Amino acid sequence: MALTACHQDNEDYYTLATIGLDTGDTLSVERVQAMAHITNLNSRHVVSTSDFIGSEVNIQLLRGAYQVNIEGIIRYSDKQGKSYTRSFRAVSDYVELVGLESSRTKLKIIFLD
Amino acid sequence: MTAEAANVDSIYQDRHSLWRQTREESLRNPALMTHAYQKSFTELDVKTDYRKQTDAFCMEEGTGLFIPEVAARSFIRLTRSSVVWGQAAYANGKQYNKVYNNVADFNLLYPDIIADSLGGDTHRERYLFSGGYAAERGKWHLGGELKFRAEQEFRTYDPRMRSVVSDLTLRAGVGRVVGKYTVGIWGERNIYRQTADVDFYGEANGMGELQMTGLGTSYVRFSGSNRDIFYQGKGGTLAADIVPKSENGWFGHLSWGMYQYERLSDEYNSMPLTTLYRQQRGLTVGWKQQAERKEKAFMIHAAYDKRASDEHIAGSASGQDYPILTSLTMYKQHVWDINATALYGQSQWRLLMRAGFLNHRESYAYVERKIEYARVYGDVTAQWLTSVRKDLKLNIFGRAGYEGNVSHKILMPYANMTLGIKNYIQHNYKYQKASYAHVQAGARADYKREKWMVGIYGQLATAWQFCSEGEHESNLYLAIGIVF
Repeated sequence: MALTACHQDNEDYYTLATIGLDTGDTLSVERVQAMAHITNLNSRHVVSTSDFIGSEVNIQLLRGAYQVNIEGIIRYSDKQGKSYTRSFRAVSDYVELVGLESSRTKLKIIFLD
Repeated sequence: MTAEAANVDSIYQDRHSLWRQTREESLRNPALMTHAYQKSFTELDVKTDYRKQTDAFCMEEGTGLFIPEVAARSFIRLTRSSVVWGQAAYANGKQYNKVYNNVADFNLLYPDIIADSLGGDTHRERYLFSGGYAAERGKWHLGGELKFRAEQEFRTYDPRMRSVVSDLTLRAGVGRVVGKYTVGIWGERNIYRQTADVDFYGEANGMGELQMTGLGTSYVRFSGSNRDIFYQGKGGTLAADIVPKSENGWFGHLSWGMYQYERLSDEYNSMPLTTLYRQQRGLTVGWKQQAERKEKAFMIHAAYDKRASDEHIAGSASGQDYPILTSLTMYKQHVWDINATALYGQSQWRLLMRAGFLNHRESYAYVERKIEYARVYGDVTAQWLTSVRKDLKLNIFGRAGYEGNVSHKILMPYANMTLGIKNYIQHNYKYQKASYAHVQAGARADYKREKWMVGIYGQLATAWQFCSEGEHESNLYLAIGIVF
């Protein structure tokens, strides 16, 4: 009797997502003040955070596919050590954050001024 | 002459007595059907079931139904040691005011359905065929059964839902006599298909359909204009029984079933959206004693039913092909039902008392949603089977009971819910946490003159259910037929 195999519930719901800003090799980021809106593509549920450490934000998310929208202000210094404070935006229509424990993604930034 | 009359009575008792409830579960094993009835019979009838609720107790199931049916049922002894049985039925009727449900077989597929807030009446048409064979060889019993159901449900105005179901079940069983008992095991295999789509003809009516995922949630990404889906189901049950060879002694039943229903999207190249896993377990232990004029039985029954729905998380499309990144069991439902039944019979009378406890828990993982309720229930059924004259037999029955809520709980992220979904959840919850009183009464009369080849029968029954929320359900059942 070929019965259906016993099903194991998939309860690994969450992943610790690290979303970083890709600023290239030439800049060194001192501080970021920005709001990240992270939208789950399946449920359209939105989570927001501004908890940046350096150029990264860490957040516990439901494992899945996301849309990320970050907008704010960044302070960085260039190769000569000169410091700048500028507005920026980083957007991605699709990122996979499905790692069983943690997931990582990097978004390219664009300056708004 | 009296002896013969008693004999005719005992055949009638055998077919219609409440006592049958002590054997019903074991007769799901086709191998044990050889002694299901004392005598062969065929019944052809026309019947109709009408049900109306003043407010839908469960929105998805609507406010009622009207379903006329023609059916034929047979149990025929071929030889002293072999029997065949079968059934064919055709039903064609209507179901009223179904909202947030645009598929057939809601109870099978919940929560993985396609839905909208408009809903409306639907037409239902069902064909049912089944047949089985069982034989005894010495101490061994063998049997097999096949059942097929084809059903379609549709609406003739927007939203025009149409569901077509085919449902095939194969069952095989074996039994062996061990001392005073018969021990049996059986297994069944089920294959299920349903195609479901929703169309809008009115130009202004092009609203979206929701791919529901439980407790008011939906798979938003593939909802909207994606309105063609199909289900692929499979599964099976394994069960074991022990029954006394006579009508005296202990009996037991143990079953374990596992079924799964995958919902796929037609528009997205058969991409699986969700898979519902359903697990059912049952255990019955009982004891019965049938003396010449007195009957006594006692049984305890426990059932566990679990639904777990996996959402398949789709990645980024290449063309129309979506890879599945992972699956998460977002929705879970656990239902426990435990009850005790006592049956007492004396010549033409039978009294059945039942008391039980039901616990229902549903949850959605993220954002967390929960609905829970528990009920205690009790009911009493009385039956009077009698021969008024030699050619007229009566089966009169009545039932009264109460289901009382003992606890309930709801947890919803109301701030994130649309008004429509909020009303829908609250509506259903109102009736889930309610208490119900119900009464039922009915009579069946069988008339057969001595010279007639066939007998005729008629049955009339009515049932009422009163909800603590002030609403009620009324039900009328009518059947006429011939028996031979």
